[in-house]
Amino acid sequence: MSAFLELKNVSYSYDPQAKEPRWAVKDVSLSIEEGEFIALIGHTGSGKSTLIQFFDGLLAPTEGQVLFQGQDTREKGFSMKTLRQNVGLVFQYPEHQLFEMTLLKDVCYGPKNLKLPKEEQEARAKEALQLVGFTENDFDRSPFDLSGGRKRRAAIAGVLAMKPRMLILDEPAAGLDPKGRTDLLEMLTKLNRENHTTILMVTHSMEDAARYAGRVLAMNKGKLVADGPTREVFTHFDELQESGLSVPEPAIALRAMKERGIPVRTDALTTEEARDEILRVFQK
Amino acid sequence: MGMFSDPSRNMSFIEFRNVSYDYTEYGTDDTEISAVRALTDVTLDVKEGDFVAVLGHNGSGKSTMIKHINAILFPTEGTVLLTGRDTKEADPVWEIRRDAGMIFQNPDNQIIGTSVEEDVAFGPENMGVPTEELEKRVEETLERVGLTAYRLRSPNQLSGGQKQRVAIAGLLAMRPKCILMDEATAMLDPEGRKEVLEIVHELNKTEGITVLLVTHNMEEAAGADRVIVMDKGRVVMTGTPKEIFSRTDELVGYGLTLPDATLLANELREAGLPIPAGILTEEELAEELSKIYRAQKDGASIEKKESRGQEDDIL
Repeated sequence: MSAFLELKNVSYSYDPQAKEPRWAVKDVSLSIEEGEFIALIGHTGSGKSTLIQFFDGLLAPTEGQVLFQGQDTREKGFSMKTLRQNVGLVFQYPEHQLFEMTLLKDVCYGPKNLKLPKEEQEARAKEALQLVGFTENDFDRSPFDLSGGRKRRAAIAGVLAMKPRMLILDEPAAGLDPKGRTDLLEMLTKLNRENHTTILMVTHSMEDAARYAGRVLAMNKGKLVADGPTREVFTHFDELQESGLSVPEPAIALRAMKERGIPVRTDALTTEEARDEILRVFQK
Repeated sequence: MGMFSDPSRNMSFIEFRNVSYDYTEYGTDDTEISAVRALTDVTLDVKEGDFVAVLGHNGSGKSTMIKHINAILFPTEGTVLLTGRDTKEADPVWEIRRDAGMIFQNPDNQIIGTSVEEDVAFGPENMGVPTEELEKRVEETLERVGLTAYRLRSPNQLSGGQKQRVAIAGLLAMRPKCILMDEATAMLDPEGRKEVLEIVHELNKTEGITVLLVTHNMEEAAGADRVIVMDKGRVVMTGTPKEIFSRTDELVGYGLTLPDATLLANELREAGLPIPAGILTEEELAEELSKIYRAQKDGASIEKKESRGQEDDIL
């Protein structure tokens, strides 16, 4: 069976005609299965944002192939519309794109453009709003009266109303306060677990990647430098540092202990795991 | 002591006296609906050379508060003083803005020049700094933020962290006494965050520039001299990072959290390890744990010789 989405030796250059083209993405191959929760990490300029635009056809690679369920997206007869309905892209600070008078109208905008019947538009919008944690009482509120975290969730509902099977989010928690951050990431986890929506989240937070994602992709200088289960990727401390990245804070604490001669494992991903590991060593 | 007014001092660097601020909410047809109180009776006092972190959930009034310091906003009630000058009466107002410059969250919103040096020169040039002095300042400040090599580059080609450093150089060229950072690291990657924070700490330490850092990042706040916590437009907590981060329940009540190292230290203490309060960094925690570990080892080394083999397996 073919993967949900697949990149085969994909490269992208903004100046492919130049004598020595500069590559924003160079020879990346990876495949994504339905139901995964993936974190994409990499410093600014590493190629993350270019990469995610291949997934919903906003950019076509200079070289290589993008396959959606085994079908080459460049092939004649391939429907970009189908791809974009299946893969929803949530940009950074999506709440800047809210514009309607009420939450419900704002979220209806996508389904309306799909030319769905009015009842279907509203049904989808209501479902999407409920998925991100709003109740019926909120539907007629102005999206501009909401807190930062709730505004962002409203914007995400706008994409969910298109019923995508995969959601790509560019730094979904940036700028949110700690509670807003946790609420949003828990909401994504719920979407992933209960709705089986595939999630790919670009993040600068190693802690969020560690806590929420099952798989981590790391980019550096346009190349995919790591791709694997979260715990495994975060054991490569030196390589991550070379890429301008790090490991989650709890793992940093364990590394600092190990440097002081305490025999702890250093691959904990969360505070709870680090606590258990430390207690294991101390209670022996 | 602390940030609240201290009667023994007659002038502080930044002083808020019972400051309240209202903004007007407009309806869809541009009619005034109501006045919304964004700050309520804020009284605080920042000493020259302090490094202060300002915490609070979205909408708690942090940005509104610091925008009063450089006269972007003026109090509805009460008084804000910068080095003794009432911001409302400052004439010209740019004297206040020169002394207290602000770095905003989005690096792209504050870059104006087509080259890095042009961008840095923009502020002092507008102040009427003569050309020779201007060139000297641009050179000096770019050196200070480590971007001399990028002098002729277009700011568009820089990373987020580098852009924020250009913005800092632009402020430094105005010779400010105070830098206000309004979530200025929120959009940066870990590396960019680190480089911006290092520079700001360095400026604070070596040149005594007062820093107010609005942030959602508890690790950043842990590195400050003092922390102010805001909630619903009020200042609800002030103190050193150690004091603030030992009041877990209150912080959580205000929608905030602890630095990861503090969180881990608390969990271990609850589980019975004798870790003192006030741990803020991974290094401090590892240091305490290694003391406990050595003590345990010394105590147990006689009876427990055999078990050591097992421990080595884990390594």
